[in-house]
Amino acid sequence: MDTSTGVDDPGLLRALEYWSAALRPRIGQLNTSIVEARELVDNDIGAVKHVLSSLRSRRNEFAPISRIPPEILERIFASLVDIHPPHVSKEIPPKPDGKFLGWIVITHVCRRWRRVALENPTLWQNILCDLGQEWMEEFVTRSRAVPLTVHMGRSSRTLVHITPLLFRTEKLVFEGSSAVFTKDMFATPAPILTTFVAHMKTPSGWGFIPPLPEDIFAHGIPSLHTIELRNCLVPWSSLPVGNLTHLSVDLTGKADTPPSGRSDNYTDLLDFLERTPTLETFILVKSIPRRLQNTDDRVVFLPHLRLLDLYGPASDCLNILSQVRVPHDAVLSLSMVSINRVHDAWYAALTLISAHISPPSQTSSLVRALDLRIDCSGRDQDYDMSLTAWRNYREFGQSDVANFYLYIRFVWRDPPDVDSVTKLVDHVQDALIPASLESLSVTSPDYGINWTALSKRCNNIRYLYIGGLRTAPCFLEECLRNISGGDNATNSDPDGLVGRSHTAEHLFPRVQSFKVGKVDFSAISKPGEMNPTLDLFLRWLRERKDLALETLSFEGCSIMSGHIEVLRESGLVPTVLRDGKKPRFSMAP
Amino acid sequence: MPTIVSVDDSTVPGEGSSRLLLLVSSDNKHIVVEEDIMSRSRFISKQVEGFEATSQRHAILLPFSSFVLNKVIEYCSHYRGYYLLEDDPDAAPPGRSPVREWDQEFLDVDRNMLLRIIKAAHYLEIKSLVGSCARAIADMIRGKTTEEMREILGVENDFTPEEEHSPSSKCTG
Repeated sequence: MDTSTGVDDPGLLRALEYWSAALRPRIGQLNTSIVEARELVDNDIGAVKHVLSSLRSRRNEFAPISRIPPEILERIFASLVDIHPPHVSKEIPPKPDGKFLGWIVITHVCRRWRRVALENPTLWQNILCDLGQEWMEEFVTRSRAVPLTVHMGRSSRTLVHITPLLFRTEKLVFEGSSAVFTKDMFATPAPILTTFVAHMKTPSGWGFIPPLPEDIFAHGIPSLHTIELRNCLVPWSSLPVGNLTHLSVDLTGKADTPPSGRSDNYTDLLDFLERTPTLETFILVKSIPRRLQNTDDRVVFLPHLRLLDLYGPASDCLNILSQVRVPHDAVLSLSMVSINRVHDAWYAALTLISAHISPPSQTSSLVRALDLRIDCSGRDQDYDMSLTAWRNYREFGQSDVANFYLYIRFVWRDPPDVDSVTKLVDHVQDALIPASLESLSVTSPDYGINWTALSKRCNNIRYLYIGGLRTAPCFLEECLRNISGGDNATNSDPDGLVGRSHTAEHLFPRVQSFKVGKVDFSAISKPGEMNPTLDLFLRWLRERKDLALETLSFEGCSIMSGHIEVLRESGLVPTVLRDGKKPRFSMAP
Repeated sequence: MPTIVSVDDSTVPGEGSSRLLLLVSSDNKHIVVEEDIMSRSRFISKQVEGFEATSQRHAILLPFSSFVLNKVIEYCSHYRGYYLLEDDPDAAPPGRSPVREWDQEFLDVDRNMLLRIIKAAHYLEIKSLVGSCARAIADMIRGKTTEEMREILGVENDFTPEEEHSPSSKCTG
């Protein structure tokens, strides 16, 4: 150890000797007057800080994050921009510790990060007006010539700051009060504006929907193709036509009655659609105008439509389905509400939907994978039955609207009666579950399914998921009933298996992958015994040696490891999996 | 640039119903993988197109370890046959990467491994994996102060006093 410095690290000692030797003559020169000496020392400290910065920069170069190319760093920053916007509250202004700066703090981490962030104008293209004038100007400068997305939030009360930016604004997003809108807001040219989004907060949470100025789009916005309106209204006749490809009107905040004084707007809607054949996405959430009797019954064809998304009373949804024709490969997403019964409009809608997914021009249905969920238990204050269908395995299970082909949700406001549900399930099976179906998922915590009928209808199922406390055991019971040839159980042969000819049809004879979800298999009568339902499983598997079952898996089930082992050791299925190992639905046969 | 070497027929299993590729990692591990699995990689696809012109079998040498390569292969295997918008060369680039539950579990690895995976994904041109890794790293530093970020990612404050108070940082408090 060097006794004068107390340093025992040889590397550090060498550095110390080097710098001491280098600085000694310089320190010797500082023996002038006190004032001059202090000035010289301050300058030297400043210089040393620069040297330290250089050394730290050099050190940073060896950090793993510095070994990734700048374009990856930009990608990381872009993700951060998405998930961590600056805090925009007037009550809590940005603080020096960076807590409210959101993603912008990255510019203060190190030189490289700042350089990468400042050199990438796309990171700065989202202008948040609520941050205030100084921030806005900084963002505008740093975004250089990149098209802007301008957000006006709740604290923005005037358009004065955004008007000068309209010429380079691509997307305009309003969130908050509709009071900022004026009829002349687009008098200033907005040549590249493609998207207009207005998400209004409704006063008191419900009821009143503020109208936007009727002539808000009257000045013409040549590139506008997307309009999203939430909790605000623009008359159908005022919407721009021609280029519009995406329209979404969501009036979630309004009461259930149609907007007052607008009895003619169903006709206006049809007029609008007729003049907008370019439409690709059309979404109406609680905003379908009510069709009055004796209004026109013309049919409008939207040849480019890719998504029709409707949420509203069953009869209103039916009206649109009846009068708007869409290509057969367009995605339908329908949430149809009734009070507490199976609405007649649902049956009529099922017929139309069936024709959509199984058009006469197609030799077989477009649907190959399907997910059916029934939840009439009232848990989560929800009574509904939903059906999601995919055209291929690649998209199976992906709930993104970009992936599915059909989504239908039947919603009851009040608890439905069991007979109604049974009747509806039968109709859904008949109308929407094609014989050629290959993947089927059924989930219901409280409702049994007629599996024999379902299996007869589609016996090409290769991938089967059954989930729910009641549904899965019901399936197993029905499997065994079919194996045993009927209800012939005796005391000595409780399952009626002995000596029975297997005349009944097996359920899902081609199933390859079978997954069971959310079932409690933990109950046993005494230690060391098999759970009774799992015992049914084993019997089913023994009886179904003709099955080509490759994978049996349990997801979200209470099941003992020992029982999984019993299933594995039985050798009846090549692969038995439990949580975390989900069977794959991606491999088309 | 990737290095491509010719290999003996015995090294690579012959062309059967599914074609096989030989990938060689920087630690000289030879990994045989079905071409279909790696088709998500634009880089590999371009290499394979080159092979077809020569009718010779090749190995593809990659500048990262077998440990990292196996992780990438695991990712590609999981999404084999899946359509992911980010990997569609004909689709417009998505505004933001969707958060996929499986990816979150898959990328629940230590920081250095995550950085190695994103580098490999970038090299192999697997945009969906780059996006998921970027999101995972962004999640790691989200809501942190500059000091905490430095600590997490092992970098130091290397600003000079002037840079610390430069005009470019005037809006950062």
